[in-house]
Amino acid sequence: MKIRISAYGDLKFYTPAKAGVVEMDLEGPELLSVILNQAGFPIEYIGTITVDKITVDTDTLIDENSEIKIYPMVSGG
Amino acid sequence: MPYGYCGKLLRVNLSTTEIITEDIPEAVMRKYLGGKGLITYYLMKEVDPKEDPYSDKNKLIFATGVLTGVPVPGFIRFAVGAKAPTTNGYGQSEAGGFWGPELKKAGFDAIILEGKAASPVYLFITDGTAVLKDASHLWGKTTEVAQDIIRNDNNDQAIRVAQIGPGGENVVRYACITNELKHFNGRCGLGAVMGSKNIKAIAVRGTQKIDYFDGEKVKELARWYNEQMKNSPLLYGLHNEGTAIFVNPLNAGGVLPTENYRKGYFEQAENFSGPTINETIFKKREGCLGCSVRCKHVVEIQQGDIKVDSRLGGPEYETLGAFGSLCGIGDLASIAKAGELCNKNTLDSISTGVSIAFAMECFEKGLITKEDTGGIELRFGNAEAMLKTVELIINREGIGDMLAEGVVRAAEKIGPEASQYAMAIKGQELPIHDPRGKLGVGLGFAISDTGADHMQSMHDGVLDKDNFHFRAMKTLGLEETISPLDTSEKKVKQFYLLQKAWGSFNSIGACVFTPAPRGFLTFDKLEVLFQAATGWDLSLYEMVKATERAFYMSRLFNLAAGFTAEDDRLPDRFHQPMENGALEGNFIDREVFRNMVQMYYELSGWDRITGYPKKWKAVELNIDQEILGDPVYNQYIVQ
Repeated sequence: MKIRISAYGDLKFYTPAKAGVVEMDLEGPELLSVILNQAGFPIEYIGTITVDKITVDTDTLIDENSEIKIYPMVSGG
Repeated sequence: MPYGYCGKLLRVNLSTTEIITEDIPEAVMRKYLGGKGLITYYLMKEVDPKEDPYSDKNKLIFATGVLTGVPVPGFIRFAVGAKAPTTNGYGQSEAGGFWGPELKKAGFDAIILEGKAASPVYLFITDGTAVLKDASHLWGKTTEVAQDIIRNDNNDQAIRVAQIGPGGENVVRYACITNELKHFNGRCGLGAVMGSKNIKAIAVRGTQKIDYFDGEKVKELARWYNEQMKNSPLLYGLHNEGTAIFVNPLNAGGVLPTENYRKGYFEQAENFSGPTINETIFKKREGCLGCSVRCKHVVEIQQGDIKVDSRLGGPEYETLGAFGSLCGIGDLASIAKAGELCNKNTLDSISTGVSIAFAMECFEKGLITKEDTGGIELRFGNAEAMLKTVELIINREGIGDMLAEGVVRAAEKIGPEASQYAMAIKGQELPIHDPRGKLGVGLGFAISDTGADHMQSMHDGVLDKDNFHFRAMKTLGLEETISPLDTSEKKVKQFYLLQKAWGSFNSIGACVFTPAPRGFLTFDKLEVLFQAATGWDLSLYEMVKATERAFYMSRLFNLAAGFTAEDDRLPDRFHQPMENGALEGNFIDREVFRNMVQMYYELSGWDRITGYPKKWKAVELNIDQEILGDPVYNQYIVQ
């Protein structure tokens, strides 16, 4: 199944060509934490995660056609 | 001969036109480290805390940090201080850019402006000398025009200019000071103090070399830093999108202040986010002197009804939020235009946006009408109304005259029902962050010596996981990761330590982005840099104590100015549930927050109930006998 992860801010650094998008092929539904790890994102720098516009945590099970967005931790300055 | 700094202060009496150079003893420089510390030292010695900010007895102090000008990225900042018009208390604000290092190269660490000029003047400083020049032909000019004239008049395009625009000249209470058109001493209304003194600009041209104790070591650290920048994610986002990078994460996290802080999520936030700016109005990347982060994103709009001049830079996060979500506006061109107007006229974009959002809410509640606004439909979402109101504030016309005084004074004029919508602390408008999602930031808002200030400490959202930022703070005593929503005493300790880090930078002249905990330069390397630049064997402990000293002193100044523990609080809105977003329903318990404030007092060595500084802490910090013996201050020092 195909899934797409959109990364924002500093997290774009970890995406191909730093373009901010990772597309992956998975065999079936998978935990978000596993997916992010496989995609190469460092969990310790991820803040908010949304799946289909709903805020979730990394224990969420992801199935096909989910729109995943990951944001860096809430900051400012 | 000192290393890293000059040991010289320029004192300018605008009333008598006398200009003298004074020595700054090494002992003073080491004790206060420049910047915030040095300003606090002189402010307490020379300004009555009850003085009217617009009086000729107020003093406007510019101070570089002891490390300002070091060629490591980010060590370019300087601070300005005075009795603040916004809070009527201690005022101090920092800026980056180019002006601070230029002042050092001209042979001075600091300038004190006192008195009031009989007619508009500007100060011109070159290599050890200074002269006051007529500025009547500059008065009324926006900043880009005035800068060009000053450079042309003096036949030198390399002159660095710190100045005020018409907003400062018109003494808008939250007017700011700009240098190089794009860098701002934004808060506290220091531009209004400058305007009240009839001084338009301080132009500096310095060609002298700053001597370092171990110049090779300083260069080695600079090379090391720039090498880190090439392939690290730590500052990638700031380089790539500037501070606009904060829009999307804050919105996703439910803490993007929307419609005067009623809400935390704005549907149209993506319209003014970093990626959208990059794809539409972005022109080029710029930075402060010698900085490879280059987080300044310059924008330009040449087509259509709205034009934005790239010379004035581009909207930072605070500007985007203040004129965007806070006013319910998603039109990027209008937001960028509002930022440009603030920049060229030197209005603090935060206070301006918050004042307009306040007025919008009052309008919607029927507390002000079209009769008050001169026919403007001043509602959330009305970009045209927002832009018109910015111009009215600059010129103090119509409703702009009332809003130019800030939300607290405006609310007093409108009536008691309006005060609940006035989002300010100690008289200064809130920055664009919602403390219901960042309790450390909220604590900083409440206890800040300059009124609501988002730059008291690194924002706590970044430290709830075991990452570089957290590990960098272990040196200062941070022992565990803590959620941004935590309200325990551990959270207070976390804030206290973070405040000492960022507070130190305000004295030494560092940007908060480049040293740890945000950037690569960890505290051990900062100690090495200190030694290499100044020859001082200054430890982290000494630096933290210098920062605690500055906060102890500014606390005394504010108590003597009339503030009490009651002023260290949040607006009522934050004790009410958030109306939407990821944190919908979140609120801050009043009693829990009070306990946090009181714990902060205790960590600071202040009385838990009154917030009065304690005698033992004065001894520990070696507070000057001049202050301890002064009845203006010592009545607030308790056993």
